[in-house]
Amino acid sequence: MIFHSLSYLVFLALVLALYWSLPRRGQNFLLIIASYIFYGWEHPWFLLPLWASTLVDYGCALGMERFPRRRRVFLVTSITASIALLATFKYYGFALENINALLANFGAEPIRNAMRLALPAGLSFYTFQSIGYVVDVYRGKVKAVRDLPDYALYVTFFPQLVAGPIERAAHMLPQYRVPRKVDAEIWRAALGLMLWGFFKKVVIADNSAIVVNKIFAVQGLSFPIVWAGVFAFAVQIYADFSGYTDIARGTARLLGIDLMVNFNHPYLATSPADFWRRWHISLSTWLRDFIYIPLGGSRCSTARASFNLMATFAISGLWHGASWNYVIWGIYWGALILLQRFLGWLGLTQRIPWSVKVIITFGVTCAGWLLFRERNLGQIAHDLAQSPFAASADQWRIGFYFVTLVLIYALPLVIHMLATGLPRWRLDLRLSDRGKFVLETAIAVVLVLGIVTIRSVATSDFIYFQF
Amino acid sequence: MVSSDAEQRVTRGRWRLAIFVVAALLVPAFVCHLIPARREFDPKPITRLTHKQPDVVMIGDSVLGGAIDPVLFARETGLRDVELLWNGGAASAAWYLLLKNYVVASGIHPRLVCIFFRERMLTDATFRTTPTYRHFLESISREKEPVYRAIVQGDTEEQSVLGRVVDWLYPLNNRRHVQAEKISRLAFRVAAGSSRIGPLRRRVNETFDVARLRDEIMNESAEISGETPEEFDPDPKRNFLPHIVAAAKESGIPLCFVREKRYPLPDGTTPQTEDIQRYTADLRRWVENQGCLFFDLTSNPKPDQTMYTKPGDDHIRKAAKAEATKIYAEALRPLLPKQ
Repeated sequence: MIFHSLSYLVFLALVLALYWSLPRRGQNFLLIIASYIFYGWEHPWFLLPLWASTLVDYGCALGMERFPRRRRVFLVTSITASIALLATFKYYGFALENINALLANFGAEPIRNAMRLALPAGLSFYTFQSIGYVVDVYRGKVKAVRDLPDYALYVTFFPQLVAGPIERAAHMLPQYRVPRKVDAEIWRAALGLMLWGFFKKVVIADNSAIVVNKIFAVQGLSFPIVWAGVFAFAVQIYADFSGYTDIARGTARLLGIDLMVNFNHPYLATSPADFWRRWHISLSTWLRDFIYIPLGGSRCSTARASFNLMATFAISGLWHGASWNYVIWGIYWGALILLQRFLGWLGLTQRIPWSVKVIITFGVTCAGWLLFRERNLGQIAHDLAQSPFAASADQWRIGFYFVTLVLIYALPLVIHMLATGLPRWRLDLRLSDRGKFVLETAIAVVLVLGIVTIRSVATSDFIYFQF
Repeated sequence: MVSSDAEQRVTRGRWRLAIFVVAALLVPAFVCHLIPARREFDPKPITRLTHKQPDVVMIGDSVLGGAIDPVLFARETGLRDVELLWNGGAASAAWYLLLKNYVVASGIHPRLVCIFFRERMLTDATFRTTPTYRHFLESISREKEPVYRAIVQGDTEEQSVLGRVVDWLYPLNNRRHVQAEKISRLAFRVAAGSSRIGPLRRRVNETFDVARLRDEIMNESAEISGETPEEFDPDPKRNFLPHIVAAAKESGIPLCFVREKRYPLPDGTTPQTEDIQRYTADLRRWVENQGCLFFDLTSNPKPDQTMYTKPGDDHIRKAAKAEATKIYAEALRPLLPKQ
C-alpha cells in the first residue's frame, strides 16, 4: 500500500478508529496486523522475508542473553542471516552480472540467472533496523525483547517499515510498552505534518519527476539541460523522501508514537559532512554507529581513518542500490569529506562566507545526484563531458525553462526552508496561541488546495521504496 | 480551578482540531466549486458551418492546416466553399468530436468530409489526449461524451466510490492538466524573456522527440508493452475510427480518409515498412467495406523534399502551400460526388 492513495486514507481511518478503542496490548496486536496488511497489500509474499528476519533476529537476541558465552555466535548468525537476505534479493543479480562480465573476458559461458526475484520494498530498511537491534543487545545497550509481538512491532511498524526512518530499539521499544497518549493539539500537528508530506510528494516531487524522467530519457543533451535535470532531481528526491518521512512521522503521532527526525534542511548544509548530518539522518547515524566507529572511526592513523570513511560511504552507496553508480556515488561523498577535512586542516574553509559554503555544498550535492540518477556509467561520462560553453542560447533557455518550472512547484519548499532553516534569519512571528492556530489552519487550506489542483497528473512510487 | 482550566484547554483543543479539519477539507472544496470545472464547449464552428454550408469539410491536424488553402482548393475543384476544421496536435479523439459535435450537429450536408491522417493515427485512440491536449478536447466536447470517456478515460469509469466523492467535492481535481499547462506556460514565459514562447516550445518538443530517446528506454518500453508492430484493429472499444464512420453514416455524410504523404526521400518516395504497408492495406479494405472512400497521397511523387519545412518534418512550407493545395485538389477532384 502506498501513502499517497485513497486506500491508505481509508486504511488509516479504520486503524485509528479501532486503535484508540483498544487497551495497550490490543493496540500493539492491531498495529502488527495492520502493518502486515499494509506491507503485503500488493505482494503478500513480501511478508515471508520479513517474518524470517523477525524470527531469526528475535531468537538470536534472546540467545545472546541466555547463553552469554556464545553471544558472538548469535551475533554473527543474525548478521549473516540479514546479509543473506539482502544478498539473495538485492545483490544476487548484480553480482552475477559482474561475474558474467568477467567470464565473458575469458570467453567462458555466462551463468544463467535462475532466481529472478523481485526486491521486497523496504528490505534494506528493516534489515538495517534489525541489525541495529541485535548489535545493541550484543553491546548491552538494550535488553533482548522477550515479548515476540513487541519485537515484531519494532520491525514492522507500518509508518516506517518501507522507507524508514531506520529507528533504534532504545527509542522505539519503550514506547510500545507504555500506554500511549495523544490530545487534540498533537493530532492537529500530526495532520499538518502529514499534509505537508503529501504536498511535498504529490505536488513537488511528482511534478519534478516529470521533468527528470523527460530529461534522463533522452540522449545527447547539452550542459544546461543535463544540469537542469540534475537540479530537478535534487528537488524531487528531497521532496519525495522527506515527504514520505513527514507522512510517516505524522501517522505515527496519530498513533501516539514518536519517530525520529530524518531531515534537517539538507540543502542549507555548509559542507559535505554537514550535509550528512542533515540528510537521511537515521541512515547516517546508523552507518556511523554500526560501521564507521567499529572500523576504528577517526581515532586512528590518518590513512586508517580515511579508509574507514571511504569504506563506510562505499557501503552506504551499495545500500542504496545494487549498481556501480551507487558505489561511485558513495565513494564520491567519502572523497568529498576527506577533501573537506584536508582543506579544513589547511585552514582554507574558515574564511568562506556562509552563503558561499551553502552554494558550493549544494553544487557538489547536485553533482552527486547525477551519479545517483544515471545508472549507465557511459552516460555519466557523457553528461560530465558537456561543456557550458558549447551550448547554444536556445539550449540555455530550455534548461532555464525546466529550472523555472521546477522552482514554481518547489516554491513552498523554498519558503519553508528560508523561514525555518536559516540560522540567523529564522522567521520569528511571535504569534499568540490563537494566531498560530489561524496560521496553521490557513496553511493547511492552501496545502489541500494545492494537492487537489496542482497535484501531478502522473504519480509515481516513493524513490526510496526501491532500496 | 486547575481541573476546570485543564478541561477548558482540552475542549478548546478539540474545537480547534475540528475547525482545522473542516476548514482544510471544505474551504478548498468551496474554492474548487467557484472555478468552472471544465472549459466551455465552443459553439462558434457550428454557426460558421450552418452559415457557409460548405461543399467539403476537411478535418485534421497542423499538417492539414499547413498544406491546404481552402479558398484555392475550392477554386481548383470548382466547389462553392471548403471548410477546414483542424487544430495543431489533434488526432483521432479530436476528429471524432469535431465530426460529431460540429459537422453532424450543425445539420449541414456537405458533398464530402475528408479526414486527413498519417500512419496509425486513426487507430491510436489515446494519441494526443494527454493533459497538454485536453484543453482543446474539452472545448469541442459536450457535457457528456460516453464514447470518449469509454475509450480514453476508461480508468475513471472504474473509480472507487471514495474517488468519485473526492471528484465531486473537488471538481478541479479532474482538471489538474489545465493548471499544469498554465504553470508550464508561465515557466515558458519566464524562460523566453521578451521573445515569444512558441519557438521555445517547439525547440523543447524537438529536443525531446521520441527519435532521441535513449536505447535502454526504447527497449524498456518495448519490453513492458510486449510491443510488436501494431496490426489494424477496428475494435470500437479501443479506437474512434468505427465511431467516426458510424456518426457519418447516421447523418448520411459521405466520408473520405486521406492519408497524407510524410517527408519523402530525395527521389520523392516515402519509405514504407512491411508492417505499415500491411496496416494501410487492412485499413483501406475496412474503410471501403464501410462504404467510405480512401485516398493515399504517399505514392504520389509530387510533394518532394523542397515542399517540406525541414528534413524529417511532415509539415509543408508556407511558400509551398499553394502548390500542395493544387496537388490535393487534383488528386481529390475525381472522388468528389456529383451534386
